[in-house]
Amino acid sequence: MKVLVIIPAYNEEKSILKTVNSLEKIKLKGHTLDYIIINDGSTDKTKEVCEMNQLNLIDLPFNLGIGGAVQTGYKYAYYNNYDVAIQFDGDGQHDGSYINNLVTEIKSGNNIVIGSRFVSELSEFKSTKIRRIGISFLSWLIKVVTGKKIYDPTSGFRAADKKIIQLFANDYPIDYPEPDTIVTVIKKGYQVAEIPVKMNKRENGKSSINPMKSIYYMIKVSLAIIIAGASSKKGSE
Amino acid sequence: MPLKLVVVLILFALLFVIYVWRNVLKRNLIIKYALLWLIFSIAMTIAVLIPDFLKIICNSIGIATVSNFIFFLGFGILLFITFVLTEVVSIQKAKITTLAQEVAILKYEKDK
Repeated sequence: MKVLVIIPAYNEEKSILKTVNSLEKIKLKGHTLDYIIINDGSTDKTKEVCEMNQLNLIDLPFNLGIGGAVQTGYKYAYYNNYDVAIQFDGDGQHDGSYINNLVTEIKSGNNIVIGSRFVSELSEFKSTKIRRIGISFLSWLIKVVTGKKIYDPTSGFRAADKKIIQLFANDYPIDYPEPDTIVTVIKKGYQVAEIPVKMNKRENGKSSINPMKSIYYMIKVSLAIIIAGASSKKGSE
Repeated sequence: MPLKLVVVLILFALLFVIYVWRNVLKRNLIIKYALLWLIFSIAMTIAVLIPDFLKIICNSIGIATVSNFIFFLGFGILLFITFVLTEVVSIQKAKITTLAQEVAILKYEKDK
């Protein structure tokens, strides 16, 4: 199978090279593994660093937001006929050694596989108590809307199969897209799985969600989940 | 209504129509939206010329004074226009996003 790692990058000049180097060491048995960086209008030297080291770079003309950047990757995967697409942060948070597990789960028939911080004891991911409460609230809301428990709906470490690549290439939310796309996918009747992964503390750069914005984020994402639940119902029939 | 005021108000409406018209000619305004503002100024002219017309509407729906009715109507129309504008902006944002993505992918494919 052809596997593509999509790396959205916004101001990741310090970590992008390290991220790509760690990916290039990974070997998948019987699969090809490519990567593509989507530079989302970074204001630092992300673009220059990528060009200097001849990394595979799609350079967006201006900042679209994380959803717009990730969707660019899905479009590229769709046009180039990839079988699996994996979202992978450019800031060193995600551990490439789990890519194998994600691909295995896709191969065994799941349409989308989430690398989850909370599905087992493996994860030592330290997040603030408030953030944990926020995530478990979103998890509860998704359970209410879809009937399925997703432990880590905000995880940006995910693998998608060919059908989902096509779905996301055509329609993807612009900002904070993870939780509501999961609802859409479940509502359309696709198979969603979660596997435990370890996530590192981000090495450089800040989270796209700062504390000031977190209340706004919660309200917006909750609304997005409810809307995704209401609008996907018709499409699945 | 005093004649002076009627003349001034109609002059305003006329100037506004000219302004809209010039913008259409300069391609700053598409006809769809020009139409909206032209209807707006025609309605204003009618209201100035035949104020009794408004009084009849007020009486029939139970609003005490014409000025209250005007404020209510004006406020409602402005809210509606604002809503339509946010809708237009949303659609355009989606289109611009798609354009940016396609251009970036094409550029990458070309340079590869």
